[in-house]
Amino acid sequence: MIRVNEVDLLNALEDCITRLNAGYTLEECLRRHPQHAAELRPLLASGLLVRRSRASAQETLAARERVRPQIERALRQPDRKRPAWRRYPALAMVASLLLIFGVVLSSRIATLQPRTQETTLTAVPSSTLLPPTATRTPNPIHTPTITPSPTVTASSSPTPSATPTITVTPGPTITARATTTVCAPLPPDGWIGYTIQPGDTLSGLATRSRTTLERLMEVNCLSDARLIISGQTIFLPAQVLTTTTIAPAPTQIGPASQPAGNNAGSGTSSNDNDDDSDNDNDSDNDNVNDNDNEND
Amino acid sequence: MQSLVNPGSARVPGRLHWGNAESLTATTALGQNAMIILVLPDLPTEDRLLALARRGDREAIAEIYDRYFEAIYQFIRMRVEDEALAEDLAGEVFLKLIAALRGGNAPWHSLRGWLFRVARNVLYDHYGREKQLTTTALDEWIPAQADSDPEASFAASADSQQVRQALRALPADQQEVLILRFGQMLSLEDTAAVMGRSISAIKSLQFRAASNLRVALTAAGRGD
Repeated sequence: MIRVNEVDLLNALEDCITRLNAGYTLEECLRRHPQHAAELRPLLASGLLVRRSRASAQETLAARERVRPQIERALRQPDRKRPAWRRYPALAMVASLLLIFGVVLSSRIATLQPRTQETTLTAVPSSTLLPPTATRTPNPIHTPTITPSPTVTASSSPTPSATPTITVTPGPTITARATTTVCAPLPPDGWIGYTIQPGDTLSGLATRSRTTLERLMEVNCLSDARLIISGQTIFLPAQVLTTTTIAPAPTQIGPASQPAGNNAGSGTSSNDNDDDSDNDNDSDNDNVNDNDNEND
Repeated sequence: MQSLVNPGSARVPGRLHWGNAESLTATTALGQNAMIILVLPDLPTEDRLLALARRGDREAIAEIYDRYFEAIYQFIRMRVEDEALAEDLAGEVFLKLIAALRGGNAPWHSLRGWLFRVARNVLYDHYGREKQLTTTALDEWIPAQADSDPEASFAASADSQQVRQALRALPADQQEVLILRFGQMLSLEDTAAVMGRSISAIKSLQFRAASNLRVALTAAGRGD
């Protein structure tokens, strides 16, 4: 057990050691602790002897110079243990961040590049191709907003089994947020989808549809004229397909376009005209009626 | 006067205190109580030296060696009789520092305390290997001439060699606390940090150590 006066003695000793280290003399210190002076004096004197008996500066300096070559040898040895990134951790962190940023950026640029060959279109009629725009956009961020307003003008031919000529006027308004142009095969007015048959060549199709190979490639986003696969769908001028009848029967019109077609007209252009004239007549009648009322 | 600066390039008169913190201050005692504290901005601080050394700056490591070798050597030499052995052990401390710097285990602060801790471990390793414990022998020690008043005379008569031998007869932790507090003038807090003990434990230890040293010196002075 440590008694209270022992604690006091320990504190007095500590105070004196601190003061001696700060440059006070032994007597100055002991004067501050008169009640412990007798006991502290021999202890502090012994402690000061330790300080006095340290190795001389001469010996220490000589030792330092004798050991120095050993230290310098160790310093000259290559620092193989530690790679540079551990010696410069901040630099390594910045470099790795730059690397990650570069990888992300390059992958982003790669997705913005025109994807010509990879884009596969699944549906045959162009009217069905237009509404599901998501399947054609490589990156969801750059989704072009396509608002199709297809007006289907179907002229029914005399033979019902024959392939009907469907003129699709999509009239799309594309609002692309991306500044980089994304090549999405969009058919000009009057072009429809065509499934490539075995034996077809792009130049052959171009000749048959009276267009140029370059125009076909441009519209369909093709970069290599040889790279067409049978079963792949491309866009061709529609009127040529009717004359040469190379197109397979575009059997059904997509469900999305059917109501639009019904709304636009009852199926024939003549009917459209009739409707228009009816409307005209109605308005005329109204005018007449108005006039009548005024007259009354 | 204890100075930790390289004596060859002593830049300031007075006593140098190597703080753990930012600035290196030199205090010059004027009279008894007046102390002027000079802040030396051109001296790189311990922490900045450490940062440079960690990056493999050889000049910084060389400067650390110049600054701290003396303290480390003194610490070891007080406990080791053989001068050549003390040199080897002190060199080992700095080789460990280089290895720690390269291995990323070097301290960020309080380099001096870290070096003292390494020096302690080097001493323990050595004594462990050599089976040479600190109980060297008071009886081998040739005492100073006995005097009528040994209490008064031992301080005057004991030479450094005798004091060191009396010191080495003490338990290792008592040797350490006396060397650190009196020999190296470390603060109570720094000593506690180096030895890994509480402040109150150090207070008791230094009292016991000083008492035991005094007894040993007195006994030797009497020629026991």
